[in-house]
Formats: sequence, C-alpha cells, structure tokens
Amino acid sequence: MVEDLKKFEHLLQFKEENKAITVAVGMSGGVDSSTVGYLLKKQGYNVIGITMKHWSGMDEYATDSNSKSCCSLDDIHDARRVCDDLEIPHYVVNLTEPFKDIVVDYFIDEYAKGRTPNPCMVCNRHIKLGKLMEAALKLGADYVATGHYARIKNGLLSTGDDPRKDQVYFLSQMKKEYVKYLMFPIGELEKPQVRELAKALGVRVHAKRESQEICFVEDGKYKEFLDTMTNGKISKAGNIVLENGTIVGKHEGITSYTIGQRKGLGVSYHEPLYVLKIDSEKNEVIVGSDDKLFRNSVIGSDINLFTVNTVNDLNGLQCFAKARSRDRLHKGSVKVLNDKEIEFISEDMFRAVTPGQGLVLYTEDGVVIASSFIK
Amino acid sequence: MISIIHANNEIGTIQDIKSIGEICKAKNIIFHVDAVQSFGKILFYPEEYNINLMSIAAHKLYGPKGIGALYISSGTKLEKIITGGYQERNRRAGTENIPAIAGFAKATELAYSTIHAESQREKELRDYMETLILKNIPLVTINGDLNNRLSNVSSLTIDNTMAESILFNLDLRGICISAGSACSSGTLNPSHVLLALGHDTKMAKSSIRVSLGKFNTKEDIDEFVKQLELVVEQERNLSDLY
Repeated sequence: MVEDLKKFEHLLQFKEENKAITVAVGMSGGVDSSTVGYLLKKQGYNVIGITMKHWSGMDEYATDSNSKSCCSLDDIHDARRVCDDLEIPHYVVNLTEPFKDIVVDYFIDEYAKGRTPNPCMVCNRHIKLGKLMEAALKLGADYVATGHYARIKNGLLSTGDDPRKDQVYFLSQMKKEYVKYLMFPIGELEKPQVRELAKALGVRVHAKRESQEICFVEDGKYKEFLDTMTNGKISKAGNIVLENGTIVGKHEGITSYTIGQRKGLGVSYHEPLYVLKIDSEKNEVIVGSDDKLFRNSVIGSDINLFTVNTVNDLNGLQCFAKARSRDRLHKGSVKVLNDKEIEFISEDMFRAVTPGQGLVLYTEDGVVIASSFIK
Repeated sequence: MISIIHANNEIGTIQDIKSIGEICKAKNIIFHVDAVQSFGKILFYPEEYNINLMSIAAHKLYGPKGIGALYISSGTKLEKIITGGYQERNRRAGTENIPAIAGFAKATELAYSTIHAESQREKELRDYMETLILKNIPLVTINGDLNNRLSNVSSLTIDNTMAESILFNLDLRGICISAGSACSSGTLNPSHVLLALGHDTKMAKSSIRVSLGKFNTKEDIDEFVKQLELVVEQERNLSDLY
C-alpha cells in the first residue's frame, strides 16, 4: 500500500497551517468525494463531511441499491460511514423542497416546451454550489471541496487537463462570488487514478459504481418519470414530419426525443433521418437528413459571467465554445445581441445544437469565461 | 378504545388523563395511555385513572435501549399477536430479554427513588435556562402549555433561523439538542405537533427541542445558552448575506 501511494505523495503532504482551516467536503457516498475527504484529512485540514438529501424518488424511504439513481438513503449511509472511518463530523442537509421546486419542476417544464433540459447546470447553481455551499459556510467552513475533475486557475473556474472530460461545463452556471470558496483536490487526476488512490488509502467505497444518469431519474427512464410526474400530460402521440410538413411517421410523445437523435424514430425512408426540431405546440417531431444538423451559430441566454463584468464586455470576444458537455472546443467569436442574449459564431460547425443545453465559453486554456442556455 | 399520550415528547404538554379515564370508565371504553415519556418522571398509578393498558420504555429512565413494557390491568383481555411459544403467560411468544428486563427494573427503582426531587431539580434548571435564553436572545418564543408540561422539556421557536443549521453548529461544539422528535427524524416534514398548535411551516422549521436529564448541571446550561447565543447570531447574520 505504501508503494502504491508513492506516486500520489504530492497530494498527501501534511501542512501545519492547514489545521486552522476548515474545509467542508460535499460527500455523495461515491469514490471521488470520499477520496477528497481522505486527502484533505492527510493534508492536515479540519474536515467536515456534508451530504445533501435532495430526492428519494416517489417513495420517501427508497433504499433500492440496485436502482441507478444517485443519493438514495444507501448513498447517504455510505457517506456517513466514510466520515465515520475518517473520524470527521457528518451532516445531512435536507434540500428536497428547493430541489423539487428549482430542479425537478424546471426539468419537466423544459421537456413540455420541446427542449432538452440540463438539470445538473441548474442544480449546481442553486442547490449544490448554492444552498449546500451556504449550509457549509454556516457551519464555519472556510472552503468547500468537491470531487470534481476541475481546477481553479488564478481564482477562476477551469477545466482539468483533458478538455474532453469536462465537468466544469456543468458547474458553469454557478455564481462567480462562490468560486473563491471552492477547492478541487483531485482535479488533476483521471478516474482510474482516483480509484487507484482510493484503494491505496483504504477508502471503503473505492470500487463503488458511479451513477452516470441524471440523479433523480431511475435507470435513465425519462419518459416514465415525466409521465408519472405529469400524469401523462406532456407525452401525447403525434406526428413525425419532414421540414416541408410531410408526415413520415408517428411518435408516442415528444419527451422521448432530442435534437440529433436517430434511434427510435420507427420511420423507414430512403436515407437516414435525424431529429432536427421539436415543436411542442404542434406536438411534432421534425426530421431531416444529417447535413441539416450542422450550423455555425448558436444563441445563448440566461448568461452567467466569470471573467467579464457585463454581457456587453463579451462583444467581439475571440474564444472557444461548447454546445454540449462532450463537445470539442469550437473556435470563434461572440456577438452580443442584447443585454440578455449572445450569439457565438464558430469557424467550424456545431452538430445537433439542442435548445435547453448549455452554451459555455472558454479561453484556450480551459478557463470558463461565461455560460448560457441555448435558446 | 381511546389512546392518549400522557406527556407529549416534543413540547412536554401533559394531557388530563384523570378526566379521560373517568369518561372511559363511564362509557366502558378501553383506555390506553402512552406513558413512555412520563413514566419515571411523573408519579401516578394506572389504577387511579382507570387505565387498561399503558406503554412504557426503559431508555427514557436511563435503562437499556430496546426494551419496553405494556401494563395490562387485570381483566383486560388481549389478543396474542406474536405467536409460536407460550412465554409471558401466553401473551407474547419469544424468549424474554432477561438482561434488558433486569436493567429496566433497576432503572425504574432508581428513578422512583428520586422522582420528586429530580423532577423539581430539572424544572428549576429548565426554567433557569428559558429565562436566560429569553433574556439574551431576541425573537424566541416557548411553545406549549407553560404551566402544564414535563419538567425537563423545552420547545423553542427561534425566529429567522433554520433549526437544522443550529443543530449542526451546536453538534460541532459538543452539544446535542433536537428539532422535533426522534420518531420523525430523517423525514422532511415539520413537526405535526407544532403545526397543530397553529405554527406555520416556517416557524416549525425554526423550532428546537431541548430536553434535560439527571446528568445536566447549571454549568451545562450556562455553556449551552452561551453557545446557542453565538450560533443564533451567526445564523441570523449569515441569512442576510446569502
């Protein structure tokens, strides 16, 4: 074990002055945040574990460990046990009401409008790096640490070394004033390294499977979730049409579709068809050929600023943008349309730009300039 | 059957089981009393109040956790719900937990030997604590019937604070109090007792419960109130910032 830890030595350095600093670690019960707890304790900080209770499904006391949603009672218990192993206090902050009002209701509304929501971006702003962080600061924490693969560069939010693995995209709607409280102790490590470190440190959840899907929708079953929450109101059968209006098929509800989707159309046509647009008013899914999915301009609203002070400061800015979390960085420039909207014009093409997703602006080094939602 | 809690665990209010017992006797209704919170604190005899069934538990008298008892007045017939063996004079199957029962018995004996003196001591301590809190911390109200409650419980609503946050901060300082009762911890709902008193949800979520015991001293109270003052002030100041 000692041998295994040698390559992580720089993360395990004890510093006397850290004893006076209190860091609250956002514990999800998963391997990343648990490892962060261990590292900070080794580095000598005064560590407190904090977990949010945000959702336990339709059943208040759900403890189904087979369900692939996150932060069930089982996950909270895992977080508690990790904190117990570390001999640090652990508190569970009850955020179920704001989470339902701010994140879940937004999720449902967006689908109803034919958009594809990004609940993680909203949750990070209002709940995680919002209310949870505020609770941590009320506990006397000087900093809040998370297990994100991200960095703070010169006081600014920034991606990790590998821009393809971008968790900062989801953090990018957080309030600028809160960045100064953040720490990302494992921000430079990639997942396999984190698991290796966790195992060497003896973290009990080192091999725990991570939830990949949206945390409040079990097993990624969005349609079922939306139907249950709205009594089937937003999933009504309708037509799949070409851009000229020709009906080519039927759908069972617009909520099953997103821009760029090819699977599940159930349409036979002489060329492959992709979802180009969703019209919630006519309850139609508009499809077309692949080439129609490409464009070089994206409009964003609900702008959140980091490196500049006003929206107008973005006008003419040369930078990089992503229209999806897994997007590559597109080089281009910003045009300010009004004080609430910007247009990013790319030198190359975006594929399948999806209303509701995030349009995030970065510098070449991965520092987040601003974040917005695609109109 | 009429079932009444003798003393409310959240705010301490004592119900008038004497009058209720008389009604039950007159109407020939089975009378059950949940005396879990009052047994060992208030001296009373079930026969005097026409009580047919009474529930008690050891952990409320510093006895072991995991053992309770049901007093059954002679003549009250019960249907056996746990079957299989003939223990407890064929009332409840299963090998009895002798060490726990022995602990329960001893705890009861000890509690009764000091029942009046200890009740009085705790009442004075509790009253002292409330006076100190009301004097030093603004916008605090005491819930319940101030003259007719358990001598060791205090339910306080502290305006413009979140009880959850106060609990965590006091815990960090080595002080344990609660918000609501153990029965509803972990759930989201604000105390149904406080809501029944006419509190709105916001007030209910700003309410804490402090219960004192035989190991608490005046020094504990002084320290508690001092820390509570600091925590409440911090909580109220930060509420504006965020």
